[in-house]
Amino acid sequence: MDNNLAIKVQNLSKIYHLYDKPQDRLKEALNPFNKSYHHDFYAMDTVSFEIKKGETVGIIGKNGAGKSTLLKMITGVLTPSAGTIETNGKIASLLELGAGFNPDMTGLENIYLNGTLMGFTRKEMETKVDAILDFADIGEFIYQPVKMYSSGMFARLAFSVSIAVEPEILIVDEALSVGDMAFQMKCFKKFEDLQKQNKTILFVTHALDTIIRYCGRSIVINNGQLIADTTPKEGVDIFKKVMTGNLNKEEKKDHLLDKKNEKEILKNKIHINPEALEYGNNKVKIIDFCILDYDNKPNSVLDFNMKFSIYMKVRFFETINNPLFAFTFKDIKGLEITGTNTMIEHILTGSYLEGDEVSITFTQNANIQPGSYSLSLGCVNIGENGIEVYSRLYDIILFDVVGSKQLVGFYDLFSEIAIKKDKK
Amino acid sequence: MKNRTLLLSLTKNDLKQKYQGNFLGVAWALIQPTATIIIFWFVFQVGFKSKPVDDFPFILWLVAGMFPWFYFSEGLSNGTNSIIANSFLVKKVVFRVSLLPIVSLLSALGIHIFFIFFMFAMFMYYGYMPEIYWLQLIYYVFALSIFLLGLSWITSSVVVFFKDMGQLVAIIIQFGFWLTPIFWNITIIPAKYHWIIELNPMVYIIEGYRNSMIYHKWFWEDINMTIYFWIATITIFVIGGLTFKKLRPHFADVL
Repeated sequence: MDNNLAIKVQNLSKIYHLYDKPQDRLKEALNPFNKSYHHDFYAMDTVSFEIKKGETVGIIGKNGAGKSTLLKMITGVLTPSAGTIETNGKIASLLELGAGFNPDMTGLENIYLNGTLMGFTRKEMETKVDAILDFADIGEFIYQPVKMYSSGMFARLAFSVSIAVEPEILIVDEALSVGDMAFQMKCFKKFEDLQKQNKTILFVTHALDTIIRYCGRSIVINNGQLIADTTPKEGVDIFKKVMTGNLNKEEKKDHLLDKKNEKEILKNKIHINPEALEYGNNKVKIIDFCILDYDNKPNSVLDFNMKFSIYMKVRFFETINNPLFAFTFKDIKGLEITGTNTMIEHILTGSYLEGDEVSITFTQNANIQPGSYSLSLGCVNIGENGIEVYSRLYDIILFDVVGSKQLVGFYDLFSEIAIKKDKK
Repeated sequence: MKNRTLLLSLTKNDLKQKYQGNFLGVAWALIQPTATIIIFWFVFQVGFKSKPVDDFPFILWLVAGMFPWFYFSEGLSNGTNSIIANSFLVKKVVFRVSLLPIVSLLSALGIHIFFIFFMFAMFMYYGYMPEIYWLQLIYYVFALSIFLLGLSWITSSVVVFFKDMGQLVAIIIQFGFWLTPIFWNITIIPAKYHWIIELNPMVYIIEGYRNSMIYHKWFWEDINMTIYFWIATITIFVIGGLTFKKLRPHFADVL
């Protein structure tokens, strides 16, 4: 293998045999005529790529796309069904949560166990322990069995151990997302150090803004196939299309809302959260909704500080006077980030009769912290008897805001900064 | 060399982990079989006043067969579970997985060595002084360990795909105890049927322990049994090695 390469993957496939019933596996193993009881599932389908030393590559894809399978095969814990992987240099990996920690042993014992497994002697590990403890920063808990740890502590320790063994190639699978903000920043700081030392980093995340911020390259995987190997920005763009199911579809201009056919249903063009909560007395029903990007295309990935709109269409089943239309954004943790409604904005919405259909569009700039959010929609009325809920869709669309600017907190105030020297 | 330090520290962990959370810790590995021996001693020596076997106190004759069986049953049941119990390593860390059954075996061996010395002490307590024949146990411990390792390679890799194997092994251990002349003397069976009993390789081991401790016979004095045992053991060892090698790549897929 070329000396400048860290990882070379050729025609890699991973096929799982799926059985309808557990007994079928045994039947197949014992069948003297080699009758097949399984069907094949391609978790990875002839993927090839090369990664040079010193590159930081982000791997993006939906849940179940095959990202973890790929990383596990590169690490060596999963055996490929076909194809080859060549690697150059010591690999440290954080696969999912915890890098082979024994839940019954204390953190400290696990540090030594992991060191031994990676080929270090106890003496060599003793010199590293201080640095590991310092970075993990979990205090007294290091003397407790790791099963007592919170997932954040677990990730802290696992990350600290895997960087302490000075790998040439670091593989991180989604493990950092459980750490708190401070720890994540510490980790990314460490990434930058490793990048300076020309180490190769491979990581999976669903935080698209992280890919843009830290990676030099991105690989997009969908249904076990490599669909793009390109710059982070382009990779994220392609991933957005995958998420909305628009990949390979021709980009037709008649997506534009203002030209759109009255009958076109926009919610079919976007991924609806299957766990959304719906309630209300259905005097008014939300029959269609969507998030539209600056190009007026249905999209669940928005660019930071670009114009976008929220669209909803309702149908009236009774005569209603002055209903109130609303939307709310929540972050991943369920905290309400922002939102508005027609009452707050002092808009009189008017009176409607049974059978009327009305479209409502909220248009604004996405100047919120890049990250993942959920959209809730509602149509209610506030009368003398309090609030009457016609129709509410909680967390109906999950969407991301991506951008390379990292903010403090939630919002960008677009501050103008002036620095003036007053005295000489 | 690297593998040796890895084996040693994994074995230490294995022992520690098994008894972690118990106040007495590793001591339990010794207390439990000791209790079994005390019960047997009480029932047979004190209660039934069992007659000495071949002029040897029954309890001494019993432990000489019982202790190697303890090693066998502990080694096989731990060995069988060694891959499943360490799935956190198999799925997340790259290392030689075939070491895991060896680790279980070594931790059972550590306990067994303690028992051998315990047995020596019992013999001396009854007034039997150490003999050159006692050294022959080294050979039998080695023979039993190779036999166990071959078996564990088979059972530990098959159990990953076929969980029922674990139950099967437990039953085999239980049957084996009574089918092997541990509690009873092979001489109570008509000589013409001995060969059926002797098909079981463990008979060679148990008899071997007794030959070393009690009857003072060398292993080459019954060369046929020795040859049979090694043919059986090497066959199992090779089959075990091949099975393990063939199934190992699929461990992480199913665990």
